[in-house]
Amino acid sequence: MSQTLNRREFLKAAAAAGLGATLPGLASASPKLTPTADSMVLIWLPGGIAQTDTWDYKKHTPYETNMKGSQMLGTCPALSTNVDGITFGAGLENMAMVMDKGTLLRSLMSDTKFGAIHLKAQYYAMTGYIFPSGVRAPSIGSVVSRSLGRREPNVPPYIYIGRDIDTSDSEKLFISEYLGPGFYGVNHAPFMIPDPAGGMSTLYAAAGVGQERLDRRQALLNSVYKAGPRALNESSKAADYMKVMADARAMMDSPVKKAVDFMKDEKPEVIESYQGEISKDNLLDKGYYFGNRFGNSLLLARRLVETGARFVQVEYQYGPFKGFDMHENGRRRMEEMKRQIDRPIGTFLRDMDARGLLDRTVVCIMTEFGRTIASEPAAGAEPDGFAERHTGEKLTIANEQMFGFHGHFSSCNCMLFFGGGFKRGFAYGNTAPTHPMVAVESPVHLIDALATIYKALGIPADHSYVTEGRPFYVTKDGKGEAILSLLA
Amino acid sequence: MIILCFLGAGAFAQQKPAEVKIRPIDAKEAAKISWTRDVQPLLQAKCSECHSSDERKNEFEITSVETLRTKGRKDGPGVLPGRPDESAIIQRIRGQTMPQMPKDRPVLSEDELHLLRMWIAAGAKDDSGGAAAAAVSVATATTRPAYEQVSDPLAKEILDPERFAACEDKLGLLVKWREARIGKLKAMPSVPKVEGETNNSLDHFIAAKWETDARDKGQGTRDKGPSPQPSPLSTGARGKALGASDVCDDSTFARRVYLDVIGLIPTVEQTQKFLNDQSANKREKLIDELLGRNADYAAHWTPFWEDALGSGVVTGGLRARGNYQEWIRKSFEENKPYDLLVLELVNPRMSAFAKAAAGPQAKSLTPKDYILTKNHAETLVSVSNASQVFLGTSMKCASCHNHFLNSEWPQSRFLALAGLFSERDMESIRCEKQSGRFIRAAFPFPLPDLPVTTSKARLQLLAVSLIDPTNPRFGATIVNRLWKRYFGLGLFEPVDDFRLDTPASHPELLEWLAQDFVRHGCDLKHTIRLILTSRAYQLGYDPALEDHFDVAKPMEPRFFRSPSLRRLTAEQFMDGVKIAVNQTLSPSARLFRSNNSTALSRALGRPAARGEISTGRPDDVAVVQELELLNGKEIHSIVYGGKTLSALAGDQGRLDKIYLAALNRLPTDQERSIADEYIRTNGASKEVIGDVFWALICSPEFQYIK
Repeated sequence: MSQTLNRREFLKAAAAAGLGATLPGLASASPKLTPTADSMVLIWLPGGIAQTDTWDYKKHTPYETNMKGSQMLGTCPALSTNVDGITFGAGLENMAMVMDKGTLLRSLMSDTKFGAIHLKAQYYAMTGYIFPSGVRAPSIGSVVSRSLGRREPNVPPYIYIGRDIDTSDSEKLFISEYLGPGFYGVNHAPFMIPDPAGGMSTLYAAAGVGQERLDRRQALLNSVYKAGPRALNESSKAADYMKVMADARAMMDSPVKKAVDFMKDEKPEVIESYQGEISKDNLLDKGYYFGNRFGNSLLLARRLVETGARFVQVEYQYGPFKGFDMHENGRRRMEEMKRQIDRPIGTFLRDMDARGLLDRTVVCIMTEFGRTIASEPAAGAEPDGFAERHTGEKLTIANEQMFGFHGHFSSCNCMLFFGGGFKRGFAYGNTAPTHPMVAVESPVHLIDALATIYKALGIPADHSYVTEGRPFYVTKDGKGEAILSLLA
Repeated sequence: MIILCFLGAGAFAQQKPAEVKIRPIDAKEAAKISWTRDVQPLLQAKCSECHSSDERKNEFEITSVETLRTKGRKDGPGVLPGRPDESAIIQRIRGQTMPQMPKDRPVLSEDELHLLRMWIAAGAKDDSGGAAAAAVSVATATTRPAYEQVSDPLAKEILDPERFAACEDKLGLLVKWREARIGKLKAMPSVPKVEGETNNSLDHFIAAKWETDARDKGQGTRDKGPSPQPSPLSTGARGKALGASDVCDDSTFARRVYLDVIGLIPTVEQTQKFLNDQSANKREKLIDELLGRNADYAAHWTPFWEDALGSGVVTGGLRARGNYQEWIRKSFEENKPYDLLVLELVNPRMSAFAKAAAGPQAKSLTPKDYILTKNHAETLVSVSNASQVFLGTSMKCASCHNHFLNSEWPQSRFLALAGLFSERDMESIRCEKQSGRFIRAAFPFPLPDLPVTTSKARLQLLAVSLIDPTNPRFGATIVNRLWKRYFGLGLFEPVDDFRLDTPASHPELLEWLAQDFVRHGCDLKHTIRLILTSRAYQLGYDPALEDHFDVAKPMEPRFFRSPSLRRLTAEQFMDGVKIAVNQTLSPSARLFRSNNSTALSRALGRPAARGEISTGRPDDVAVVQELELLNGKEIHSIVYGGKTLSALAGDQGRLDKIYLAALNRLPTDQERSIADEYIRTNGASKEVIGDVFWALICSPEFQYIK
């Protein structure tokens, strides 16, 4: 019998057991749906991307002194994609040429208004639960890792590329929690690759140790254990610990190491084709530039999928008021950010498809919320601020710094899916042409978008694991419903 | 399989009633039965799913004595005082009126039925302070403040914020109140007589279960003939005969108790001092010495409570529940009584220690923001957190609907409690639908002579009720946490989800410990000392005898014949490694002091942030973690940067010292020759000594407390 139950079965079993409502076992079992994908790459672009300047194009309204907020609909010219009916904002020329490979969701809604608070919105996007959820909620990567396990024996099931590891910064500490395994525990924690150029450092012996000595030392550990107290030799916990230690050593021979050697293996023109088209000198915010990290991360992600990775997340590292988190000079910064991500993502998707990898891999692009007009030029002080549903009648754009979408918009947002069973060259949902640009056709809740991804991977939306004596579902309360129209 | 069970249950549901035997009632015994203590919890567990203020099937409601005596449609009132066998509730339970209750559930036990009959026979008296009836039902009339509902002047002073604030000697008042309330406790459970060796009362409860188990198992043979004479066994052998492990050796004890009390392993010198001590009571001496190291003791407790309270600073617009590190550390350093510590946290205005905390440091030493109630959602989180941590009761599910799995907690009972956290009664919002129905605030466990509800000063009543000696969950929850901390498993499990339908492994011991704890002024060190000096704590580890807990089989017995293997926390491990290789560790270098989250600390299970609370660290082993031990830069630099390595490289007696430093014991001959050969082959360099340390530190003997 399956060790995990869906929501209905769980309640039924609990009812059958009567007052002593006992719980089914904890161990994971393979979910029952037929998957259309075996692996996933999640391109995570936190900061809150202006959907109107990127994937959900609105009429270009160039800057005019003292124009009204309501008159500012789009800050860039239109860009046709290779799919009829899908128009992007200019600056995404590479992505526009791969739109035929994927699905654009234009009408993604949140269950709440996050106001000024990025971290809460990010927690929600990454876990599907509103913070605080009462439980340390696992991230999408950990859900996939736990539900499906490794695809290849020595390839970690959840690899995270592009985020600093060691930190005492309180925002980063919070982020480390929500992208982690939550109550699933360290077995489903991501293997972190802060910078692809540095690889996964723990797969290599520490400086000065060397492979031979490392193995000698590990043999010593085994002898010491065997010669040690009898009780520990007979303990299954201690034996498991030693087995995992051997697994860790085996992981050092992982093909992941080969994947990380992309600088050696790949032709310079390939590496070049993955890079953004902007240099530090061209940026308004020179302190927020990660060089080739994002492009390299996507190149590495492709190689990891080829190697047998289950779930890879690539982040354009979030920083408050940096990157996509724009509260002034929105037009110019948006142009710059597009130049940082467009070619890497476009090349990645073309490359994935050319290699046949999109057949069984879902690639998803996410951000935590959309953008709208701000009531103020910079972050507002109002508690639920950011003019979520304003028409912009009352906002006067007095100077060019104020020209851009500086307000947080929890009400609507875009999400993109490529491969792994999602439709190709397809758009779903529509939004209003004027502010507030909410979904006016086929609104989709995040929970259902996540359920759709999980369905593609073969994980039922009401798949659950037990914590504190109760089930905790992969989508909120087990109630996610896949949007079948998105799937081929 | 499940479907079959269902059909089975349905097909036979209408059959004859299952018999529950009745016994004659002794009037003296019957008079001792208490509604709040005995009867209400039983009915809550068995009937509330259908007969609480939330559901009221057949208009019958078990929430208060008043409703029991007056409400009910088909059968009339459930309880006729003085006439148990004519009372509808008893007739339903016995199946004299069908359907038999609880419907489609196991029938009540003989003891449970007897208890109920005794209470009714003695007049179905209400000792809940009288207000329960009005309180638990939906608000209809206005309520008075709690302090106007009591006549006892001491109770008035405690419940009235103004009078309390005016009191000069708050500590004295609280202690006096605690003493008065202790008087309302029922008698301590009697300590069972046992044959085997014991150190203190705890061992009697533990050994009694071994003896019962041995008798039960021996039944098959006893039936065949007269029971054999007990053979003159040594005490150790007698323990063995009962299937328990022997008492552990001194090295094991020293390491265990150091890690348990102060979170550090002993140094070579400390280990040798203990091993060489010839006195008979040296274990007790060491326990007292360690409990007396107040700063180290507090340092070990701090991360546990930081996790449990969700302490920390979270920016980015998220409202934190405050950073309590210093307050926790100070409170444990001075061994603040546990009830007063909780009081201070829940209602900082009731702090008896505010004066002591004055001065420049006062801000970090005064708890605040633990109870956040700005909005509905925030209040619910406050209630869930407080009830999980201090009442061992998981209510998160009940915050938006009736608890699916625990019928003790209909949503209304949860929201009634929430009303005490807030400034007004809470609205019933079921699965995000507002109802316009407000639930009268009420403490969920009626306590003798205390109002359950109040119109104002709600937090005052809440705080006083929460820590009350007669609160059935307060003492039990913390002593159970202590038990889990030192044995690896709780007397009830899961420790955050106490349920009436899942009894503790040793219910009398739990009750005894809880009462002993409050009777000793909620002195944590008193109970810790009791546990550590018990023989049960000092048993050796034996995997064959180790207990396990499986949520799927919550009724499996636990015997504590051997402690459970416990993984070191990140703090114990990191601090322990530093002591092993350096033989010293400055208090400021202990991991709990660091705000830094590293790949290693996270891999070892130390949370990066504490947005959600947790009362236990996972003891998982994972590849990502072992890779950090194998190759991580952080652990590498600590081990190979050890201050003692160079000197040990040139020391002929080094192996004894290395084993004493890392594992607090001498190596066996075989271990000696293994390590000797490694050093001989590779040369006695600092690095090679580091390799030996690394192997010992990464061995299960270092990683786990055995």
